[in-house]
Amino acid sequence: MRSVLLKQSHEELWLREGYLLAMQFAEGWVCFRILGWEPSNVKPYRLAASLAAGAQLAAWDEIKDSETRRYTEPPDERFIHHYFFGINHPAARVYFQYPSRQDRRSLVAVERAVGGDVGYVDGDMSPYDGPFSLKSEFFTASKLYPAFQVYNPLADTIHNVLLNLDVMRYTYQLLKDSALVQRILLGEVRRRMYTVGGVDPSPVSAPSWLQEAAGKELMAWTQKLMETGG
Amino acid sequence: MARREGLKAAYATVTTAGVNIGSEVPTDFRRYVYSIKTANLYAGANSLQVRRNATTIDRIEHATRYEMWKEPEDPKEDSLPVYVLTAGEQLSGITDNGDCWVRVLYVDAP
Repeated sequence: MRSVLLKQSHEELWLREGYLLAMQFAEGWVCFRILGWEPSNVKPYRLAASLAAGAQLAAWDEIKDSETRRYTEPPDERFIHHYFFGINHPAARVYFQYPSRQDRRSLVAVERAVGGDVGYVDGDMSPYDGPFSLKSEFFTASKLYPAFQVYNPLADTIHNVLLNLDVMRYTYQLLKDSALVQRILLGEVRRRMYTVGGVDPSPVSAPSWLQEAAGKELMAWTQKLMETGG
Repeated sequence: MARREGLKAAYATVTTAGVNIGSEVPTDFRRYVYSIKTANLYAGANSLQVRRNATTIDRIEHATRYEMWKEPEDPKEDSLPVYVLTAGEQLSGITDNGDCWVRVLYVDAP
């Protein structure tokens, strides 16, 4: 029988009213105060009804509804979305692009390949009914969304290749006071830090609306602040 | 074993013409059959073929009338399923000589 490692529930990681969130983009950091939250979910999201041995999806999946609206992209700039996901079948390997078309989670100098043994989350790591892996966590904002690919490493067809996406929608206040931003980034107040997409080749570029709203100069300043430590 | 709230039972009197046992497995689900019980109603030997769509996946042989057969003998909370069907598939049965009563316990889950 399988053994299950006890993990911290992802539900402990949702943000609540008043929590501080700092998100790192390619242009610098943006700080938010969470004002409100509303839970949602997508269960199941079918990546494939069946997937033949050694096969992958014909195209990357941006997790859309029947009218091609993306479940992972907030429909309004007022919202930030926070996700964790579980995977069915246990052996199905899910690969990640963030933003769409930017491969993530490589390990060596060349980009990880779909079907390879590097840079995926499978249903054993992040089971469909939980506990979800921290590797499945991501945040999104308007005009910013990931894409998913899945591969069957087995010698048999697998059925019901599904995602269980647990979602929290937040409203927020952008924080632009440089003294407060400095305290947040240097860890003088309790906050949640998140690098959007990862570090290779660089974090995701912030959508232009967010750069305008947060202030490009402030974002550039946060990068220097983090490099120098204040 | 899956959560007991999700357990369902399906019953059928299987004939020589063939009979469905329960519903078709819904989209995005698998059917985990945890128990099967049979009782031979025919006055003599009777072979029951358990089928997944048109494919025979098990044979249960009865030698005499009212002979009963059950698998597993004693289902446990963590028992493995006896049969697994995928979305769109249908459990059915057919006999070679006469009627056979069948009951299955199952759970539909992803």
